[in-house]
Amino acid sequence: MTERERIANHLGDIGAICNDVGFAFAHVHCARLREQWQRRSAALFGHRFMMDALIPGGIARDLSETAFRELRLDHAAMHKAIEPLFDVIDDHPPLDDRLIGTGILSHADARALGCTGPVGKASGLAFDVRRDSPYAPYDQVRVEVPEETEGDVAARVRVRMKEVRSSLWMLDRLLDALPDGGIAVPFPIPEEGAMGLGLIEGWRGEILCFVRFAADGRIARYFPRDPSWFTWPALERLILGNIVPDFPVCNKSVNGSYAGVDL
Amino acid sequence: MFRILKQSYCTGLLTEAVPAHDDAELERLGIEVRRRIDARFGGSLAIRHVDAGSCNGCELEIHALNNPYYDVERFGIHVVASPRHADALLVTGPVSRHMETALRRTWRATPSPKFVIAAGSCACDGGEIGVSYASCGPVEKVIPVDVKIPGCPPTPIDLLKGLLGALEVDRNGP
Repeated sequence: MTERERIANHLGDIGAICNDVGFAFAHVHCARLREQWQRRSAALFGHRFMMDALIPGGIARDLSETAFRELRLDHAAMHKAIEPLFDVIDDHPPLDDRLIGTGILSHADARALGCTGPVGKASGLAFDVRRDSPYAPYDQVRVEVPEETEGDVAARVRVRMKEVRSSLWMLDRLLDALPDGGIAVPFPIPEEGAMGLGLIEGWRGEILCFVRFAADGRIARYFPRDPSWFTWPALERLILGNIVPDFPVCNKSVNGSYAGVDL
Repeated sequence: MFRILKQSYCTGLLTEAVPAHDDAELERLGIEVRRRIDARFGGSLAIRHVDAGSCNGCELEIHALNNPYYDVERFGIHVVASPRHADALLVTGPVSRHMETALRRTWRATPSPKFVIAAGSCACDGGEIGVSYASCGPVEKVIPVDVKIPGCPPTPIDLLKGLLGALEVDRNGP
């Protein structure tokens, strides 16, 4: 599900970045693919954003045999659809003119700010929780982590395109390896003072969540740390020296979460 | 250039017909509101979207309204960049205390006649967040609300139904 989410959001971002420099063609096609993708998520996982599909102790619903087949077809169809599209985005001189050399985040800045996700990976920081601190099921599958060193908007687009491809590849491998059996175990009520820390690679980068329980299973403290905490300051750095009309595309190439930070 | 033309030609037209909505839904949206819009806005609606503290789920679906499947602009509905240009405010999220003043000022800056659409469960009744030290709860606690579109988040179809119900656009074509 994380990979489906990654593909949906990267498609949205790639399209929106192109749109911000006036290349509506890519925007429309990415939006088209994303909508189809989300409709499939709604049909198979019960929600367009797959909300409430994860529950404490497991997942809410199982996939049927038909769903397996549909997912495979879905992956193949997406693969076929993105190739000609990414081909255009990768090699379209007017787009290159606007994206290459725009909004450069230096490796040193990215490292000092602790950027993860496409922003870090485009500036030579190829850290990925799935590969470098693997959790199930990523310990069973090869995770390809794209790395670019230019640090400009074009590099962030390339990282996203590569991640879409590698997520698609991974999805089929993960489906192959999906074990039979139960989908959830009963979740015991944690005792007072129980604490937990979760770390995963979301589509924006490393997401860290902390939770501490109070009496009666109530939550005393919960803090989700979105990767945007580190990419918003990066935006401040990477726009320096750029013309004002390029601000929207710089912003979009980072796509920090407002809700994830201004809690 | 040929690659672009080929891709566009092969994809064809995706925009879907307007969904039919049932009478109960229209009733809920309020016949009074509809009549007022018809009289005052003449079939075209400029919307200013205000994120008053949303998780951005509603925003994703509002953006989806502009994708080629829904293409909301064909109904004369367009999103504008300033409340001064707006006929209606589309408010999402529970109203966070940080956004309370901003939302009031945005509402005051919108020229009358105006109306307010609350989109998403949080905007309609406080949703998951409710009222707390950081949240005022539903939008109607801060500014008057005319139309509510519940859902977490409301799907683009829900949003479209809500907006169309409010506007009573000719359902048979653009």
